[in-house]
Amino acid sequence: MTNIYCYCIINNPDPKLESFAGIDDNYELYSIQHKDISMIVSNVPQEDFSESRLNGAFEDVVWLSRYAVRHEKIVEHVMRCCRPLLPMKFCSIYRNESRVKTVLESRFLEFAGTLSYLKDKDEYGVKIYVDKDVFKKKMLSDSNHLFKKVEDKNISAVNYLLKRKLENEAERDVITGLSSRKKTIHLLIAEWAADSAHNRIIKTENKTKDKMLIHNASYLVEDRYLENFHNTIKRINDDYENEGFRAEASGPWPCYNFSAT
Amino acid sequence: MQTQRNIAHATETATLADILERILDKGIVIAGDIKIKLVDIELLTIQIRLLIASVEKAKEMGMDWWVTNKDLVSGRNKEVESLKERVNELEKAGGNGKIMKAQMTQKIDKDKSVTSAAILSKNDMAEIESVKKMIQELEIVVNKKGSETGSKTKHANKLEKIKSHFRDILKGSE
Repeated sequence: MTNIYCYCIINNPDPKLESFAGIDDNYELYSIQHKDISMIVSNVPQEDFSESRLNGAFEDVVWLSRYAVRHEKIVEHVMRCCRPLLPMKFCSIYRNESRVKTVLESRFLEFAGTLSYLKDKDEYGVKIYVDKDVFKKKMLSDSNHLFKKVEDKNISAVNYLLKRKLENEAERDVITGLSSRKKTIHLLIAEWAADSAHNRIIKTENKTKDKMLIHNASYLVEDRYLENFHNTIKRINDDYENEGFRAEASGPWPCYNFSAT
Repeated sequence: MQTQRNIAHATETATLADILERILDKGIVIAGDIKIKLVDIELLTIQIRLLIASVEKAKEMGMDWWVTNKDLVSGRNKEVESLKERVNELEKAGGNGKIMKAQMTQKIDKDKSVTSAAILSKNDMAEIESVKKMIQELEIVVNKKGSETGSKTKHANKLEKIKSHFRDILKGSE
């Protein structure tokens, strides 16, 4: 017995999909239509993708990583021939074809509307990292901060507390400065995007002190502005390198951040 | 513009955490017929990083000595060369060597859960087959090398280490 695993919705009633294995090796992708939209799906064995099995598997990091990558690769494969598309959440599973049709039917207007909005657009991720020490040094050297004036001087015990106080102040100023830079950089990129959304700041990514993730966002970029978008990332890396910033773009992603209405 | 768009896809430039966040947290959510509980992504990425770190640690400790051992990997020895290639292939297979290696380590570290055993795919079986073969080939090479260089015990010890490293995986598959 099999269930139906859903990957994404496209606005093509009869997509020419190359033969491609679904999340379970043994079943290939196919589509289920309603009017002029279709859901890309594949069958999955009921026992492997049952509620109890999946809830157990979700605690198995290795299983989850492997199937997450596979799921993403399948959606990206569909993206090569069908765009735009609306990506479904991981492990959206239905009992049978008529259940999938019901979903397409009941939310047809919403799906068709979003698909037409996403035409000729793709989602790109941008992460901004900063080397905080470089930024602090640069910021303090550019300003007339009191901290700088006392930093290198021999401090008597009496003035030790004063120095500590200035240190704290400098630290606060650095944080404010960082957040204002972050905003500036975001606006530079957003100029070329139809929309933007924030992603989680992944703490575990801050593995080294010189590479702190301070901005993790997605931008919806229209084809005609794609070059400007990439040039802006390049320019940010050139212009802000001396302050310790680095921008990294990823994509095109399926429009995970811009598909929900 | 169209060509530029197709240069790289997200999985080639993204981290696993990026993918997990997007597919678990975002996208179209419709109540499916199968109900799945929520996952704490922050916790998940920490777990993943720990797992990968432990694999890297194992690597540092010399668990993958056959890849780097100059004694064994010489241009003259075609057998070793092909073995090296095989290891690399194994690492690349499935698109994410780290995960695959992580998977091996985890399978050893923990009792194999019923879940992952049951979802062994074709790829897993092929992987296990090639690991089995690799061990056989290693045995031949090590014995040969060992008698040549007179450091048989040293190599044999390393082989034992690797064999026990993989034994649990093989057990789990049979």
